[in-house]
Amino acid sequence: MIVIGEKLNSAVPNIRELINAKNTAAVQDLALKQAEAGADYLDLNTAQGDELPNMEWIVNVVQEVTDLPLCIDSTSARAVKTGLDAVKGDKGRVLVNSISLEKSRLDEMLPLVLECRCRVIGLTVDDNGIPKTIEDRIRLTDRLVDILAKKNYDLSNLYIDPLVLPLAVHHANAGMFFECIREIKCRFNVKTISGLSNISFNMPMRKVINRYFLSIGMASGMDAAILDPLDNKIMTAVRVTDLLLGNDRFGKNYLKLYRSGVLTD
Amino acid sequence: MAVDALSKAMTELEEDEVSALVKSRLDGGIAPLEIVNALQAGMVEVGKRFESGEFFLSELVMAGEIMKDAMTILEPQLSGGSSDSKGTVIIGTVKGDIHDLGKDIVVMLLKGSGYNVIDLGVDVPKEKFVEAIKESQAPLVGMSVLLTSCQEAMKDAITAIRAEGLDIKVLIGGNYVDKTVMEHVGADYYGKDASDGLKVAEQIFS
Repeated sequence: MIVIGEKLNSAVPNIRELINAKNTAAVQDLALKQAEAGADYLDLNTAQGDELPNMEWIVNVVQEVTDLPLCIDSTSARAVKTGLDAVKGDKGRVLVNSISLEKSRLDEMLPLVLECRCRVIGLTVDDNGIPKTIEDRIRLTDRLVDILAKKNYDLSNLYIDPLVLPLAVHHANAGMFFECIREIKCRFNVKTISGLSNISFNMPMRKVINRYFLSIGMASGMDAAILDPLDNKIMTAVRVTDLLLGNDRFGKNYLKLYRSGVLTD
Repeated sequence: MAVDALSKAMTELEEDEVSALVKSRLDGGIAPLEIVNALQAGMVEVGKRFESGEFFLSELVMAGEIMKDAMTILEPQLSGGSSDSKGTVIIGTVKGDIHDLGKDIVVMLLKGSGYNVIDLGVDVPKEKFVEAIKESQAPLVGMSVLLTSCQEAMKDAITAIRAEGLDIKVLIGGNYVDKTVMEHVGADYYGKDASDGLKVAEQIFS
């Protein structure tokens, strides 16, 4: 399971303050803590504030303390470009978060991704909005895959996010998401990804719902998730599910984490 | 105490690192037997951690797999030399014990050093040892044991061999065996690791 650490996101008020105040030590501390907790990527979002200079700054300070690949998170192609430009070393390791089939976003973001041959999250949404059905999500995935394949893009670097909608809106939304993941994994040679918090919107005990959602998602073929690696309970769910799915040879990771005291009941 | 990098990688179950180190040491001209000893030192530590409850069963199994993979790389290097057999050795894990890792390493070392080895496998009853000795007329039999609870089975097998009046030396091997165990079960030699076993064979067949 690929874990994308979500901590450094300006949508969270206290993180926004750290970024706007250019608090290097605090930002680097959060980057390091997520890395130690087992994050595979670090998401960086500076949309709330002076986005471009903040993106350049945060990419620089985070790279000073860790070699983890970065997930450049913005709806603005200019912010993504600023982030990519600041990345040192192999830009192909970067995960751009995200492109979609909305025309303007696709037109602006696609050339950046193709230029760096970096990894990218593709949202199944177009100018008509988020699709209502599985079929429409598959159709949008097909379109995006087609566009990228024509440009000789390595599809194993494409992470499709089928955009799960809250259970509070419709009780079948989670089931539809799992089915969608299975269909995508079956039809296309791409990866799949999701955030964990949409599903539980406006429900009590959200974290419990998020954890079970993660497990069933992984069992359905979800390759990556954007989550808080400092939350030991969700990380325990990740490791236990990997163990159960046979992704952890001889349970080595699980047992190592058990001994380090990270796993929690 | 400075721990050898390969032993450490073995103990930490870093399988890619173990395989890389084994290859680089072979390329660097280090004797295969020395590499086996480093791997074994790592295995002994895994065993200790398992006994103390720090390691779990699946880690013991994984260590065995890593060892086997490493031995697959090492085996062709250990063999070679003359095609004439230096002599025949019978070997088996005693009744009640199904551990084959230590035995297999000794078998590999003996074969690699030019001995003809008759491997009776694991959980070997005393009758089978006796029969094999009669048939082959081998001058040396090796008995492997890991479980202390199988010590009496080992003693029974040796007693049966002696009762038949067979002219053979008995070598027992296992992590816990020592002089006291050797005397208790009536063996002639004991070995704590695979290279000890090889030394005994060389002594007998020289």
